[in-house]
Amino acid sequence: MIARDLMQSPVPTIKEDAPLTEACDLFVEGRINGAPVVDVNDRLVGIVTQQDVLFGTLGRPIHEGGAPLLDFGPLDPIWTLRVRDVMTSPAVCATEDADVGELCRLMWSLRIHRIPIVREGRVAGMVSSMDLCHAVCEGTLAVPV
Amino acid sequence: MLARDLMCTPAVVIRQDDAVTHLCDVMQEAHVNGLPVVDENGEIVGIVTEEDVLYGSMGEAGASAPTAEPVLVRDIMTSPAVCATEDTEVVEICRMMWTMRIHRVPIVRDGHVTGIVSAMDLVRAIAEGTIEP
Repeated sequence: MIARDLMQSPVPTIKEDAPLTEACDLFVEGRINGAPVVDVNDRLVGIVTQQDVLFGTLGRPIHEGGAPLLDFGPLDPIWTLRVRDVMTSPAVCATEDADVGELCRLMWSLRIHRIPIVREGRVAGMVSSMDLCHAVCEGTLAVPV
Repeated sequence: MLARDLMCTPAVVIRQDDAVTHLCDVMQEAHVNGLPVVDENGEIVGIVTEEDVLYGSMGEAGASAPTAEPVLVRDIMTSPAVCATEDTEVVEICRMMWTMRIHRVPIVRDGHVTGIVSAMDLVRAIAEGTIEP
């Protein structure tokens, strides 16, 4: 089994200069936890997850000086930050013919939940741990009895 | 393959009356994105994830001055939790996770959490060769 057999395609991407709030909207609307980040030419430059939003916004200097951890006021950096400020870059990625066993070893060793699949630098799809669940449901990935 | 063959043990749990700030510490230390929530008797009452922290505890504070009362896990958790037992088939757990778009299912015995199966456990099983892709 290779990445192409398992990946979701197409997948929503987000521009690196988009406001972070747009990433939050994408997560909620798409019911997803992470998305590949692309530049103006649609080339993959990173990945952004809910975790990046959570830990990337709460630790900023605005919260120093005794401000509460969960103060979500008008000065909160989440309103001014861009996706590129919190994303992980470069993204760990693979090509469509990557072996699923290799992908899983990569995902497990790095404890990452999703790997963008690229074709000539552009996002062709994505493989996530949830796609493995889907494959088991569909019977395309067999678990031993 | 049954839940007991795939689940992670022991499961890290959080009390429903713990503060969300403590929850964040526990999730970071344990390197997990979600935890089963238990009551004072150790029985499962719900599940809480980073998503709940992000959308459940951060949305209201801007509307008024922060209060002295900490946000508690029980205020943001999903309850009841979707659970399975140790002898539930892995295929059935995958079906639950996929259809409900949830990433983890606590495994319970007599109301107490004995382990947790997450989508990442499938990744681990393939990485370790227990499941052949």
